[in-house]
Amino acid sequence: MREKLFHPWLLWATRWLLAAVFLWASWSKITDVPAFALNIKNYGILPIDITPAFATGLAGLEVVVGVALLLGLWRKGASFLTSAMLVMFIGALSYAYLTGRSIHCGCFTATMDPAKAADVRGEMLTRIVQDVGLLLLSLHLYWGEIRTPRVAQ
Amino acid sequence: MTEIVPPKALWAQTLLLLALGIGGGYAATALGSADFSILDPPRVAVGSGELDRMLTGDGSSGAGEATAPPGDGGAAPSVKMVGFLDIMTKLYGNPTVTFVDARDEPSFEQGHIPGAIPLDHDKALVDPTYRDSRERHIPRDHVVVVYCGGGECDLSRRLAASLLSRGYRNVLVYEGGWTEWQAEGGEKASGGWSPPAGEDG
Repeated sequence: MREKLFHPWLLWATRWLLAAVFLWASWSKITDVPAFALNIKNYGILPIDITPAFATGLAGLEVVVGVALLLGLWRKGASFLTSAMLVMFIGALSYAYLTGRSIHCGCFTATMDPAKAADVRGEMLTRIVQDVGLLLLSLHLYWGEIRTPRVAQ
Repeated sequence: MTEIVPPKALWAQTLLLLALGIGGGYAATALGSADFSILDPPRVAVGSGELDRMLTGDGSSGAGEATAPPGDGGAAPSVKMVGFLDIMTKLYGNPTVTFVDARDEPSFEQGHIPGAIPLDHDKALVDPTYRDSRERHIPRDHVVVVYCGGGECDLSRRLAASLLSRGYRNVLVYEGGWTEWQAEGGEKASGGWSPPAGEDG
């Protein structure tokens, strides 16, 4: 069962899916970092003084991690960072939801799709659930990458 | 059987990716000369003469000079501040002045400046239809006074910056907000807002 769960083809598929998600998500952020910084500010977590630096670093990190996953480079570190970022996204979005904010998460676009604007808080919950799903994939990849077979003696 | 890879490779790769990602992000931002002033628009107190000119229609607040929408590379327009005294002596009750409440609707319903139009800043950010439906009732040739809770609340400044970037020329921020208004004994109204008879909501 364990060997099937961490079959190379399954890990390969998980890696490519995560790469696609992170590269897609990073595009709107890296092309308009100030708008992404405004999304982060709306969470009300970080001091405004460090928000630009945080937005800049996070946008760049998403791109690099996405590329690394796509090319199969530094997979252990990349899967660790995707897991860490997803934990952070889930935490931040949950904090915003529990404190009564109605915000656009900024996950994939700087502004919300008008079709979804009628239920902002519902959309926030949907994003949390989606991120939990991605976190499970990321942890699957991470655990698969840090396991290595022992050479038979 | 399997064994866990020693952590050296994991931490080395993680640090390398962090360095590349953060460094790359800064390089990309520097190359594009990103302007983060939309996060905290500069603010200046409106002068008495300037306020009089706005009310007589002889000029804008001056904040209309830079009208590029935030994030488009243009400088964020200056947001002009107005105090309680100027509001009571020149603005409150003036038919050419519109007050806008940037807080959420439940806060507005609990209490607001009489005649104010609610325009929930956070909701307007994500729902252009809602934003447009409220802006329809804010005349562009009026002096617009935006307020929120006061104190640490910066919704009013952000909403004011948004209105300026969308073409409103005479926008002021009452930074003391609802807290100060109540403390100073300003008139109060409560309940929801509905558009004037004969107009859509």
